[in-house]
Amino acid sequence: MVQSAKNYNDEVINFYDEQLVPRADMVYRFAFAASLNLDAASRLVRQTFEEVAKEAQRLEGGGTINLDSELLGICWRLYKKGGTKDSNQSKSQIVKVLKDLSVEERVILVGTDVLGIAPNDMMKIVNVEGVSFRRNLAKARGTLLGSSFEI
Amino acid sequence: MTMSPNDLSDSELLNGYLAEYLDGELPSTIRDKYNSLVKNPKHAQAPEHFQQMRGKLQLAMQTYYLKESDLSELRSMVQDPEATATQENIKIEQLGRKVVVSNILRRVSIVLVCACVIGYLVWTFAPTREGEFKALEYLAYEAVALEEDPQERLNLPSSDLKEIRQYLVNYPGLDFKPFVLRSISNNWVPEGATVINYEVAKVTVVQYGHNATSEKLFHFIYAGDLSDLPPSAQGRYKDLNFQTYATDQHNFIAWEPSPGVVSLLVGKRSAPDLAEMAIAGP
Repeated sequence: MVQSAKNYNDEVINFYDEQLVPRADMVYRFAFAASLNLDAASRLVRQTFEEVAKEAQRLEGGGTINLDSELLGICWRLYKKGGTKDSNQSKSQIVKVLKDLSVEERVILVGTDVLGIAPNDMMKIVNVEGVSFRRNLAKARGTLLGSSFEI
Repeated sequence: MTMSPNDLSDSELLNGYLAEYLDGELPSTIRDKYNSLVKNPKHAQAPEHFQQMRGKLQLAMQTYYLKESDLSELRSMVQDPEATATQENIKIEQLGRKVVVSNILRRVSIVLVCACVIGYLVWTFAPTREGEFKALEYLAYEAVALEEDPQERLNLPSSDLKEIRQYLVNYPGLDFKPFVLRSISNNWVPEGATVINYEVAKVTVVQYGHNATSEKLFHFIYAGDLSDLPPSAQGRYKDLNFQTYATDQHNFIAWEPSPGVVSLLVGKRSAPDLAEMAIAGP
């Protein structure tokens, strides 16, 4: 359920429209990597932005905040909280490659190699330390390299 | 945390740092071991293969994006859609007004530029302003006209030089002090005088006739500067400095008897002859 819009000032509205909403597709792909389900991914994006809307004023005045990490961190936290459950997985080629990976492995793969998030930032987003992160990433890449994935 | 080469297995190390290897950004702690792994023929193709598969995965993920309705829903979380639409309409209206004003200013500028160009061309190439006195042109015509019909054009037909002088000195509205040439020679007799009124200039004329032929001589005087006349050949006879001109029918000499006064002697004689006559002076 979408909450009614609060009374934000023009700067916050412009910041939200120009800096945060353009990142919605990035959150959607991350959420899809986590859930492997398009509807679930859409719901996760809405939940993420409901959280983000509450934080918009803080983020707007944040200066050097890494917005990509902030958004994906919120999305991951919501996913882990169980706000969205995996069900009726999509049958696309991508899902065929990712479905045998753990959720951490596939979000690390998509976050690092598709969304371009720096490894150190991905570690903070998914709360996985260095060696485990590299192992997850290596496993996911190994699966991708060994697949017959075609577009 | 600094990675040690022994923290990961060979395959974990290889696959875990493929991107860094391709970017040339391997951590120094694992660089030597990694390079030796890649040199192994079994793994030599791994970096290139990873690049290809990573590219395919990126392209495939690009096909997943939110619809505009989903994005509108996200925007509505901070601003009511109606308020957004109203603000957009206001911006459109303001932009439209700016465009209209800009168009008007552009058109006015173009009109002004055209007007300036046309004005300049008219000023440069248009016929002389009404009121400018073209002395040579007008007096050349007058000389011909006087020759053809002397009696009709002379207000004061007279052979009395004193009478002629009196007439001219008393003529109202002259911007200069007129004078008559003293006896030019015995062969030339005054025949009369007149004042030609061009509105922008008044010119006194004394006409002389040769006593043996029908040849005429005309002495014109008006207020002006010798420099207003076109540049021409300069002449000098005794103390008289003059400029010479000619038409098909007459020769002219022009001089300044005093500042602000131009005097012309017009006739069929040569310029030196005219100068000799003019030196007689007032």
